[in-house]
Amino acid sequence: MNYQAIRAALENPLLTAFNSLVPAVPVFFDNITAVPPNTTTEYVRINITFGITNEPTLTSSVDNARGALIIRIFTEKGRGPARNQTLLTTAVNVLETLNNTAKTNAGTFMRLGEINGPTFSSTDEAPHFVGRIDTSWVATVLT
Amino acid sequence: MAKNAFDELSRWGDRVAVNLLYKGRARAAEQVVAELQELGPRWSGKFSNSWRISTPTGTVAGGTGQEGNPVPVKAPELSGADVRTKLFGSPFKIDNTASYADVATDLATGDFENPGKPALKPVSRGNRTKGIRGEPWPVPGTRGTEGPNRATAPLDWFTTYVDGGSLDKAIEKAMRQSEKGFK
Repeated sequence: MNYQAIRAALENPLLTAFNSLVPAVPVFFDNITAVPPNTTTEYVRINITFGITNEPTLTSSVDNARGALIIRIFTEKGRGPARNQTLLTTAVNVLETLNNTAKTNAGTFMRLGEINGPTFSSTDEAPHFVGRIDTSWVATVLT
Repeated sequence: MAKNAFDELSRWGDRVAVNLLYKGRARAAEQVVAELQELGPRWSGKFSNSWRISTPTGTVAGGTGQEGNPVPVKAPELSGADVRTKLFGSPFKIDNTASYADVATDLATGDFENPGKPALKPVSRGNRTKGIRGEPWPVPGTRGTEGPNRATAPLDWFTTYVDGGSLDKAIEKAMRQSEKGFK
């Protein structure tokens, strides 16, 4: 099982999409402390978790895994949801593209489930307004 | 008298049909709650004991919110009315009555409040700052170890359980065990 290939298949297109925005929006992945330049800077937190690996009934291949993808968008609190939703749309577009990518003979074949959310929240102490989506994923490592 | 006998028979028939059809689903609901209790955060135990199983007609089991280690929740008995109300899928609904359940499941952000007593599960710290459950409050120059935040469950434990296949496995296992018992 190549967990890193699965992680890369999810992370790379999202990173590319947010880096391509003008200005680019910082993206922080698992095990990286999010430290943007100041507390009002918008940023994206992407967490990938693994559930079951090599479930025999999932596909004919035994090199497969399931898990969850959680995307949180942090924008400035008190300024409405518009900017947060714009960034969420960027993420959702990437997920839809990923889901429509045809299966090849090599690499990692990825399919995503339904997208839950977005849900929005903020707290008294934190300076950010947080939009959150999550989805399930099933990946088969073909090579 | 005859009407009473008929009523009794009808009630008995209801119970038999319900038991045959829904025993596996009841066991599945119990198994899922047990796993959620085990995987989720547990400081005082209130959240673990706030999981409950309910039926369409409003019969509820669990959800006491008592402190301490998790108490297993037994699915409520189903009536014929429950089954008729929910013909397809499981008639059991699982939810959590804690007011902060959305924060404890990482579906919303929240400010961490130290309960001021030892936790019932091992506590980790260091990957979040400034008390924000689910996501650090970024403080320039810090590496996430200075904040007061503590966690007794990994970030996104609930979403991982639901989306990562463990929920499906729990249901499948309970249904299979129930079928074996029926034979």
